[in-house]
Amino acid sequence: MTIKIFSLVLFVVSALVMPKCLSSNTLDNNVELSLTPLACFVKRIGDVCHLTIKVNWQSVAPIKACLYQNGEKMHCWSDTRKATKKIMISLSENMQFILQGDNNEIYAQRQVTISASTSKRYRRRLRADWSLF
Amino acid sequence: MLNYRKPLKNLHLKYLLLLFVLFNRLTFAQCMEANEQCAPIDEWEFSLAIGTGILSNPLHGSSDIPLILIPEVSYYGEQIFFVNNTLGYSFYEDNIFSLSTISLINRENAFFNRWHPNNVFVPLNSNGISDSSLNFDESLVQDEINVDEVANRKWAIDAGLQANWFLSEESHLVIRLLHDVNNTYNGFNGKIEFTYRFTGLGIANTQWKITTGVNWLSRQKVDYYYGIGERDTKDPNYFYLGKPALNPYIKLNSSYKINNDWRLTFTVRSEFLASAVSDSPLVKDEVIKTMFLGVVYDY
Repeated sequence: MTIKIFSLVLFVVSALVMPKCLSSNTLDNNVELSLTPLACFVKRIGDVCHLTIKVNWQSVAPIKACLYQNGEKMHCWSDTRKATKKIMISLSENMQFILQGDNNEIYAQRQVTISASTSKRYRRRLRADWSLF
Repeated sequence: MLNYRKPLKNLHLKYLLLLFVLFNRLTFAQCMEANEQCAPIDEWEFSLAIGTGILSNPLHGSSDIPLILIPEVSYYGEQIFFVNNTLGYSFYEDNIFSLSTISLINRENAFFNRWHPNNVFVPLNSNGISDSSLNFDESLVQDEINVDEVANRKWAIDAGLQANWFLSEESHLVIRLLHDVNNTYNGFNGKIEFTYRFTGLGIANTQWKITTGVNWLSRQKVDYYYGIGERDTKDPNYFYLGKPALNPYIKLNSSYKINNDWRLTFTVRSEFLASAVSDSPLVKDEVIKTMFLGVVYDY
């Protein structure tokens, strides 16, 4: 009976903790990934932002991993427990950065957001001159 | 019997397909700032042109209309737009194509009625001399009738569809099909217009725009405005029945930027009236000419 209650409590606790783990930047193997900065400001939405981000990650055990930007491989490390790297990136929309293992195992991911300093939007002029001319 | 329609139809389909492919291959930068091609959303824009110019009136007994002040106003919402005397709603828009419903005041009555809304912003001829006094001898000819001798024409409000193709940064195609909505002439009118924009010609800060197109007037429209019947005169010698008309036109505009607020503008336009219009006893000219030279202040 005690074992059953303990199992139930364990299940409830697991269920409560699980979503938190999933939303964290630590997904697997206790890998922590941080990117600095996490936001880039452009003049207008659609402008391309060029910046250098500082990638910092550490793992409990040595891992072989690569950092991907939108599916494109940025940099790889092999059998490393922690690493720091500055990378030049360009983005025109919010971008997910994923630290991924050889077997497509996702260790951690972070998003760099893009924000516009002006919210002005524009559209095509439709050329309606005075019908007089 | 030879069936020549099918190959012709196939040929048209090929051209349509080619145009479709061409338009879809075109890439066009998104609007990122306010300029000649792009308007800010949710903002009113005003400008006022001050200068000298003339719009010729092709009707017998009419005066040419001097152009001195020409205001321009525009507002673009997400889909709605209001530009000068055109109110529209764009229900499809992407980077190269836009399809809108529009409503505007018909131009034709401007030649008949000096108090037409189109003429509110331009002063009337101050000396009051009309062509009828200058061409007195001509008015004796029976196939001519003065505008003030015929029944009053009503002003019409047209509504319909307008398609805009932004073919490139420099070129723009407009196709428009309208019908009057206030039971005036009960017919259609339309136009196809192509505009090409370019800079330079050896002059810095100058932009040129050349526009060519054709106005199509349905039989009902030509008949209502330029036809002569019992409503106008009891003399059947003047009677004239309108026919569909295609009026080609060409327009050249140049704009020299003086500074951020002021620019110098010059416009010349000629519309060549189809015989269906110019054969009317009301019409004395075969070409409607517009010229304007002035400065524009952008508010």
